[in-house]
Amino acid sequence: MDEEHRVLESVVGEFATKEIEPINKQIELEGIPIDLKKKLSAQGFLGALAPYELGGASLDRLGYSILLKQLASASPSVAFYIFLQNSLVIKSILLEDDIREKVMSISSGNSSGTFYYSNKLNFLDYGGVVNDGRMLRGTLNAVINSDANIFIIPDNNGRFYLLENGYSALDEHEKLGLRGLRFSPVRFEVDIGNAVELPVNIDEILDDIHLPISSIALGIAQGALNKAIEYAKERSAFLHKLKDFQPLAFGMAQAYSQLDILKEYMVNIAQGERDINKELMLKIVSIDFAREVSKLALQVHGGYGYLMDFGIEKYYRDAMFLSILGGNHIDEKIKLSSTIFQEKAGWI
Amino acid sequence: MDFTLPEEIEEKRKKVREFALREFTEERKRYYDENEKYPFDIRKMAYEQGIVNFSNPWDLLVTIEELCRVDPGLGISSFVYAFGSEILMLFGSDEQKKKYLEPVQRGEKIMGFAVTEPVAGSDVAGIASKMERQPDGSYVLNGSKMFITNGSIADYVLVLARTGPPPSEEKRHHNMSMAIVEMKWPGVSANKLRGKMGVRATDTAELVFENVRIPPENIIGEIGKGFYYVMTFFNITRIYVAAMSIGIAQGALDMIVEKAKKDRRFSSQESIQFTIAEMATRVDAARLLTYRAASLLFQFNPDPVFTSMAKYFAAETATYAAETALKVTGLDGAVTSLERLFRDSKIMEIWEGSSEIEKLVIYRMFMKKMGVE
Ligand SMILES: Cc1cc2nc3c(=O)[nH]c(=O)nc-3n(C[C@H](O)[C@H](O)[C@H](O)COP(=O)(O)OP(=O)(O)OC[C@H]3O[C@@H](n4cnc5c(N)ncnc54)[C@H](O)[C@@H]3O)c2cc1C
Repeated sequence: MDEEHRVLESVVGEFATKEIEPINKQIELEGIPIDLKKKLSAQGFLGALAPYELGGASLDRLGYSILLKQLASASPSVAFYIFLQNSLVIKSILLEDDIREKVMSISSGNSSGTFYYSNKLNFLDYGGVVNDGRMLRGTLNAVINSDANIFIIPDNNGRFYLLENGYSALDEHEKLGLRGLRFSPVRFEVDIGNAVELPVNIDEILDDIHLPISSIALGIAQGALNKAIEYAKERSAFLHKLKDFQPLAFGMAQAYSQLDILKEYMVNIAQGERDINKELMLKIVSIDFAREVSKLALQVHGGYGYLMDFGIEKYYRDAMFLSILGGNHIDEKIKLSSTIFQEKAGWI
Repeated sequence: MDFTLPEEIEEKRKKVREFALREFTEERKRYYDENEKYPFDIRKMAYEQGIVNFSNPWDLLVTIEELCRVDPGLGISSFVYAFGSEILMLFGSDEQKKKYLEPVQRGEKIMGFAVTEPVAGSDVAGIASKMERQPDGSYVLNGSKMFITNGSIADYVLVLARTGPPPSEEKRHHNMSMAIVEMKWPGVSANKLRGKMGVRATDTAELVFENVRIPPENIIGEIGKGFYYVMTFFNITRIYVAAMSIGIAQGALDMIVEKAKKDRRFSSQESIQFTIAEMATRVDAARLLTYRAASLLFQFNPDPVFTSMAKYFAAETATYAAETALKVTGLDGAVTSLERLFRDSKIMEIWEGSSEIEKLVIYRMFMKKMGVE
């Protein structure tokens, strides 16, 4: 990794420690405060992928991966929020020149966007919005960041529209994870004249989320594992520090090694020529890894791991939720199998 | 060898399932989970409708399974008000049974069992609370307890404390004793713990004892035998934790089956079929391990190896099943109570002896069986 990216890693790390860690509980209970959004914006993180003139940081793939990993290590919710704004909302807005200015309001923290792709996640009951040529009408279940004021949603023909009115968020779902973001159904009733059609190719957009989702997963693993290592140095049982017991030490050492290898792989593919298959491979592995490590880290904390105040259980929930929101496991594994076999495979 | 339960137990299983499906409504599950409130009304219903029956251990076992299958938070709350009662049954005096145990069994009073401390959980012999004998024969208790189930709603708790210093490092478990402490006594305070990941309907608290005077008749059994009583107790309750875990795992399996029924595309894929096959196998294995351990215990011949194997394996099956079910059902699972099962399941690997502690017990007792001390 070059100097520039190394500096970015430490700057984001410090930002997370100073600005996010102290308010983590508030983020989990009440959502991401506007104050934090403003601070993220001041650093250019909120519009990470947006060009400078639109308030962004114009980060390259590696820079963006580092940003998400470091933020997720402190707060997976904050990292997912940035991911949603950039990989899904800002990218879609930038497809349409006339509305570029809207990016500015997102990267400044004045607006918040969301993009609906739950229907792509093996979700039977996702609802739907019907386009009758005059109106867009219907309810979408399971909208993440549902208190947004910019919605990018598909109609029943798979065409995407950006709307800024005619929506109402319904009661929240129970929230498995990423609790810093609101999660609920949203009802739409909007005049088509007030919506902007965007030339979104959903499959392309979803191919682009492998690397950022991997980065968040590795950030979760990093955050959880660091906490567990620190705890095992402090906590004693049976007259010894937890770190001295082989099953605990070996488990953490193994996880540490895997994490190191995966981070290295992430840096390599983020720097090199774009390779969607490698990105998908990384995502499949790192999501499962995040779930395992966060479970291990919780276990190391014993009963304390089960309490919100210790800031460890959220990684376990968030990793699980990320694995659901990160893509359709089966479709992706079919795709990967077919690439490996170089013909249709894994379909029975 | 007969792998069937008596007919009346299977009948009871059905009755409990109906009760849980009827009374543990989506609104109630969500309300008590979100608000972290103990469901007094549900506890009362479960008692009045004859759901919880402490007099027949097999009946209790299947009841726990079926209640937790629908909702662990409400399920556990329905019977955990008697937590610790086996200690009084086995080691309590007749007066203690009459005064403290019977009202609990009649569903009138709530009890707790307080061993864990901020400084020591797994390492029971590492606790620091002290009970000092006074010239008049009474004891004075000082110390604090952590994570005590029912802590802020109990009428009394059974407390483990030191009644003398450890004689040596190897004998740290000596000189520990148990007493019944009434929560209304001067010097006793409870601080409800909020923000648990799961089983949020159950009550959990931190307790503080400041110069609490305990009359001699509230000492349980013999002075100095406390550690032994606690281990005996765990050998019983681990089987009930295994039953909770099987309930959760079965509940998670139910969710996938539900989705498979609704979605032919989903269930037509072999990877899903294998997931269901593996999960069904593991749930059954956990159940068989548990029933064997239970069968020995209920014939007054408990085997700690089998008990710890059952608790360890069933707890891991619970988290495995909840995780796997969520992973394969995706958002369909995440917006249903499967996400709650997932949050609830993790405690099974922690309380009543973490998985690591179970493995230590299995190793030691197994090697003993193999003739190695
Ligand atoms: C919701 C809830 C309810 C509870 N209810 C009660 C109750 O009613 N009464 C009560 O007394 N307690 C209760 N507990 C406490 C529970 O039993 C303890 O949390 C548990 O025993 C673990 O202790 P600890 O939290 O101190 O973890 P620690 O003992 O500090 O252990 C931390 C980690 O280290 C591991 N570890 C420890 N020693 C070793 C070793 N030698 N080798 C390998 N690994 C090791 C443990 O497995 C664990 O993963 C409750 C806890 C919770 C969360």
